Amino acid sequence: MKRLVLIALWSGACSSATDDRPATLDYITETILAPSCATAECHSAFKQEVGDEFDTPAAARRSIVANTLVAYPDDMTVPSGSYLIQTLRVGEPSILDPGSGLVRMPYDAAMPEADIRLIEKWIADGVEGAQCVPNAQDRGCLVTAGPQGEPIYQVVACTAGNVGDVVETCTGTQMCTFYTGNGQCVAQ
Amino acid sequence: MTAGLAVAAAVAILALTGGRAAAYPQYQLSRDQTCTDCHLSPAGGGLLSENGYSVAESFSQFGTAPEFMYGKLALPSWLALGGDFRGAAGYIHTPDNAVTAFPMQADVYVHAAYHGFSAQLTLGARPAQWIQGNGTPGVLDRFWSREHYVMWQQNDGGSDGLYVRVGRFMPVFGLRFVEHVDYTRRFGGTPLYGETYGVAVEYVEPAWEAHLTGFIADPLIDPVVHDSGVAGYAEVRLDPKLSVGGEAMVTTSDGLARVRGGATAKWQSEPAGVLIEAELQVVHQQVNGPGAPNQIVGYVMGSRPFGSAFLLDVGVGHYDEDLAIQGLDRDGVDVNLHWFATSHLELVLQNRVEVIGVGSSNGGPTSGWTLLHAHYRL
Repeated sequence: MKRLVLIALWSGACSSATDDRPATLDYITETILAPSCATAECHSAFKQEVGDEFDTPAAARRSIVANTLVAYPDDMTVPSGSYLIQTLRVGEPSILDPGSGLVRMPYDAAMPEADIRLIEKWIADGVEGAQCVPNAQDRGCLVTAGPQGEPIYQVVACTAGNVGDVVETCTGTQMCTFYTGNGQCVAQ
Repeated sequence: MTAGLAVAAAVAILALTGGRAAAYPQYQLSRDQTCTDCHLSPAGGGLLSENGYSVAESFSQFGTAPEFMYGKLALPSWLALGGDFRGAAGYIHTPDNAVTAFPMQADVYVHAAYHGFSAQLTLGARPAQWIQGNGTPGVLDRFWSREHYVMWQQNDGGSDGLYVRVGRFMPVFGLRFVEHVDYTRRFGGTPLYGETYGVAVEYVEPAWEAHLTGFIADPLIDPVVHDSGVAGYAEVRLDPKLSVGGEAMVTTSDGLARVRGGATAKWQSEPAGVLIEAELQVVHQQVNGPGAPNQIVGYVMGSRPFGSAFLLDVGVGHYDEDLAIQGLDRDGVDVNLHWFATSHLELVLQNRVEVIGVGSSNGGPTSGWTLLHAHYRL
């Protein structure tokens, strides 16, 4: 017991105020999102609450892109305005219980501000690794905001996990789907 | 500082209560030496043995027959049945405020034994996986089997000796508290629904026990834990009231390797009637690409029975997700009051306060909850 207290104090005394952790999707997923969010009842592969899954980098990438938790490249300029950061810091309207007010995540315990800042840095750096989810033809979806904020759905060629050339822009009655035939325009 | 204050508070609270030690996992050294003294599984938990029934009956307010279905259903000697049902309701501040109620567990157990060989099956409800587009989960998405394994036991019908298990179960590792929110469960390698397929060789006797498990990520369902690896845990009872243990776990998954090493200790303080249990883990992770954080996870719990049916737990947890960076540590204080109303019914008032990065500008808001937890054992 005494040893636990001493180590707790030691760990605080020896740690640095400078956060030099790598702002990569792999690192953020394995050390922050998975232990904080991918619990059995929430965003694990087992439950996939509201369609989000954060227990592996591949799953996190799919969730971030498919559910527009971070909109690339729009959110790069103001990462704090992304859906993901808003959810972590102030909350977003509940998907499971609309009208119940803002719900902040993680639901069972707050996330350290340093972790949120690292995720913001990853977004500001270009959302590396989660700009695009490729289908078998290496194509994925890109959703950007139009002049009036309306979504513009584009099929893009993915390269090394990131967005490449725009292949096709879906029409106003279509959207690029993430779940069936990812990287194809389908009727909304 | 937080942990120190909490330990002091725990000692103060525990010292104010009186009574005797009996029953429940928190009392391992106060009454029996091993988990198998009360449970059929060498890991503890689940179905009770005859001695476990006796303990459940003796430490409850109103007694009642402790056997399955109050003994009204006669079972052959080779068959054991049981079940656990849990739910909770209360107030959470994590850090948003909410009044909540939720089911926790609905499992039934079947255990059939024949000449040292046995088969264990747990069937129950599971949280249905989210379905895109407001779809309704099918029946098979609402029920599952958390544990199913076959076991060979050297001492047929006994509670010691060599055990070999093959199937789906939770690897034995660390103190194995019931509450999955305890830090050494949640962050310590044995989270809720962390059961998976593996092979375990285990030896249990009053003076010592050892468990070695090789396991793989569940290939049949979308699991909670994606790791494959090896876990070992050994515990030596230096004295009937004092034990120390060591633990190690090496796991790999796609893009992540993790090594855990740690120690446990249990001490039953007879004058105070308090069982102190502690676990400390050091964790090294190697993430794909740059990044190899070191972590520590620790939990200390003091348990004090009082009256004929009450148990008070005071626990302190510490988790630091990266020792090199300030503000990433969290400390939690748990105060749980159990009332064993009958040999089948338990009510627990659970309380937690959690702080993040005390003294650091990188920390986070304080969280907590108060929940009333009901547990019915079939």
